[in-house]
Amino acid sequence: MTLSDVDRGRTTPISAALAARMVASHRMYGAQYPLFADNPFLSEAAINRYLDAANDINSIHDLLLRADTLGLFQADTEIFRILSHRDQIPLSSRDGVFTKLITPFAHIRAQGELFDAGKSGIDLLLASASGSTTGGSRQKQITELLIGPLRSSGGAGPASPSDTFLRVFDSQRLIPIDSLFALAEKKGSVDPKTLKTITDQLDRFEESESVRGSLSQEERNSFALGYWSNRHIEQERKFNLERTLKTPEKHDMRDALAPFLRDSMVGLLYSYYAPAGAQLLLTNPQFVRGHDFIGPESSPAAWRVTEVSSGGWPISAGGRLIGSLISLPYAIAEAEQNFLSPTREQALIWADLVPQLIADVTINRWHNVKPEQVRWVALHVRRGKDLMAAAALDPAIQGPVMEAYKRYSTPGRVEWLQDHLQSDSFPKVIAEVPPAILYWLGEDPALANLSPDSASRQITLLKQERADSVSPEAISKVFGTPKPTLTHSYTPGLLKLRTFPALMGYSSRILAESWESNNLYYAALADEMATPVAALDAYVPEWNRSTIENIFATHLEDWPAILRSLQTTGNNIRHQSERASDARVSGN
Amino acid sequence: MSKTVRAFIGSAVLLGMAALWLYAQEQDQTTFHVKVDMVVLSFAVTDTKGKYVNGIKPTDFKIYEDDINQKLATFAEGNRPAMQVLGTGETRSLRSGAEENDGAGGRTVDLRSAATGTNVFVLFDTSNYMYRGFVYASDAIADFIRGLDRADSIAVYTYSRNLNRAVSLNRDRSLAIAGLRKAVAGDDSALYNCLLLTLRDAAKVAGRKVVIVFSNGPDNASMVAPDDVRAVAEDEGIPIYVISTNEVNKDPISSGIFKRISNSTGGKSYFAKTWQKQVEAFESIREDLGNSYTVTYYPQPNPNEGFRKLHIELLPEAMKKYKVRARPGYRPQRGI
Repeated sequence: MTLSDVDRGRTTPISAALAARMVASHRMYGAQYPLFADNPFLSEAAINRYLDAANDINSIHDLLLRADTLGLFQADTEIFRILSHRDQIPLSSRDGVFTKLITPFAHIRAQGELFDAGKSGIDLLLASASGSTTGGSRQKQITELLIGPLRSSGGAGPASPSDTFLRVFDSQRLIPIDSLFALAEKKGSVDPKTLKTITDQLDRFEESESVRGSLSQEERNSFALGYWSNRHIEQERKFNLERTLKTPEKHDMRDALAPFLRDSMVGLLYSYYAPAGAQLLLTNPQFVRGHDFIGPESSPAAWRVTEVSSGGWPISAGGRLIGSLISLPYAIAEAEQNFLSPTREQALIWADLVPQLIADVTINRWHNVKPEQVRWVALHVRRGKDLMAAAALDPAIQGPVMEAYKRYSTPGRVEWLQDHLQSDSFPKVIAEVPPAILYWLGEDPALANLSPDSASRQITLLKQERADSVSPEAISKVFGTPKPTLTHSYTPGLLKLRTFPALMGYSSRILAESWESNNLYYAALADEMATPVAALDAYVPEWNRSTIENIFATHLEDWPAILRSLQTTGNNIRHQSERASDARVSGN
Repeated sequence: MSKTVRAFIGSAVLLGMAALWLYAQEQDQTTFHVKVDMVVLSFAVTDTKGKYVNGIKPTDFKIYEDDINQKLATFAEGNRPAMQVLGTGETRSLRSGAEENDGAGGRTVDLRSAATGTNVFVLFDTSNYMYRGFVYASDAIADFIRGLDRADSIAVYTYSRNLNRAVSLNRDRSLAIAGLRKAVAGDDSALYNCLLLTLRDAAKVAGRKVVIVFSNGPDNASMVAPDDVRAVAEDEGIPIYVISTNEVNKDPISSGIFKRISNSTGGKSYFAKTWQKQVEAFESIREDLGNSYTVTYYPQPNPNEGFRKLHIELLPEAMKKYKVRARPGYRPQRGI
């Protein structure tokens, strides 16, 4: 099944030989195969090269070096995956870039080699995506590649993505990659500003350790079991910058800086996937450094999915993530979900459902959304409502509409709708229809000529004018959600799924993956509220947080609770807007 | 009220902000700088027998940050209204719209925010660990709320795996108690996660604030470590009082953390298993709030971007033997 997903987007299926190798390696590397599913343009040679490099990394005996290599290797490939998905790396060169990116990680035997591999990887990514590595700092270039131009939040409104990104990176006491490169290259002659940047962050890192230094013996004993990953931190604490600078001939700076480079690169991804209202990333200054890429001997975690580990005091010095970076957005969402405050008692389906709902927004980020795409979704949702209204009034229209509706909803819901569409008040009935179904009804070719209205006419016009932007692929890419459990892929998309039932645990996650309404609802809301498209990457995460906090399900199968909380969020935003408008009028 | 003053009231972010540009990186790199907001410092003075010492004046003590003497902006004893401190050390009432130059950017700031009583945030453990004695605990908290000074505001939060903001900060005691009575016990305990969120809320409120944690102790779900939360409380100047419903020896780890958190933030910890002891603990907290001093100041220029040690020196010879309880220091915030 995993191999089918890898094949899904490829022009030709993978060969029998590669399939056999992937089957044989599945136990070790299976969790990484979504990387190949997400990048169907990768040649078999590139996939083989990846598996070779992975085997080689596994053969590194020094555990600290192996952990650092895993971290840098996976950070590079994850950034590559993000940039590829956004088409920031041209399709024609992706296979070559990927191969060049991973090749230096084969045969790593010293930290200095790892540092060089990391540096060449960053330069390659920048050169491939932006065309030049000259001018401007690499840190700024890679940050802007990930989150767009840096912009401040300003006074009112939610925090801008760049503010959140930079705050997380700084809170983790991470060192900008340019400073690390400058220190490695210039050694003793590094400029004072760069030196100050580094020493400041090292001092703050050391201070965060000293905060924990006051632990009682009982506390130390009780979390000794989970202490292994701190060897990475201990290794970094031993780094004495002053002594190293005084005797550059005795030290290879690259050896000492490779672990810091790993942290900075991994930290870029943690910062990138920080959800709205993130607390853990801002409060635990060693969350990034504490990432355990190898796991305990009894339960190796290298190449496994990212998992949350060590929650609950006094088991650990704060929770941390363990495993690879492949499912980092989900794991961060899982760790951060406990800092959301439900407006009522926590719903039964909350814990397994919420991380996916958070990741739905942190993965696609609403970055580079076009105004016509927001309008397109809003028009389709409106068209869907109009069709439902027409169906309520005209039995001749009800037939085809309900026939279409059946494809997207469960028999129980279809029956309920048929019973209530004509007999109950329309606003009450339409409130029970998820926005995704309204969108699909609006999009359904079989209903296109039925009861033409203003929305359908505007849809036709928009399609003529902006065919590329509003193609099904483009809309699916921008407003879709990732479905790693269902599709072994983290690429967002719209699959027109019926909502799966929730039975807690794994099935609640599948329920969340099958729920495609949130992003479509936010698009329609943004259109209605005339929210600037460029600001949606700041607003939508906040709206999503509000939706999650308003979820209140009364029983396990009460998935309409998500729909109700969406509508509550929408109503709250409308009221806020009205109050602000009233205040402006009275102020004038 | 001048427009300037109104603008400051309207934005907590701007309140009393004195940005010190301590360094700048290259133009194409993000620049972080240290922001130093108005510092609110609460402290209590006790004599050799542990009794509160009242009647201390601003001229009786000096406050040092890393050995740098600080100029006080306001001074308040217990629940009395805050007074503006003049250059001579004399005090005067805060007039409507009282404002002062912040000494850094030449801006004026509203000082009345420091004169609005104490903002008390109660964080009540409603996890599985609290099943036993839940009702008694609720009664003890209700008694405490009823006995608060009229000038104080109260917020009631409950926690298990997540935080529930049962009653937002207000002065309506009946509302607070009604919210408290709605709490139900159950689920895991994420004490330190929820304490962090409570501190974040308290930090947004101007003036003096305290957090009172009422907990059984264990935490089986938090993702943040207690000492990271402690650091936030230190930096924000929010004393944490902890009332544990467990015996000190039953859970030495939690007991140790509670003592550490409360001591380093200027609060206190109590181990009160019985209802009577819990009522006494609350009475002690109320007494502490009523007998402590609160001062505000804008820090003098200080190149230290890390932990700044605070020291309060009592000047009169007769007071030298007294004990001062306050947070040991704080780290200035960093802004982009």
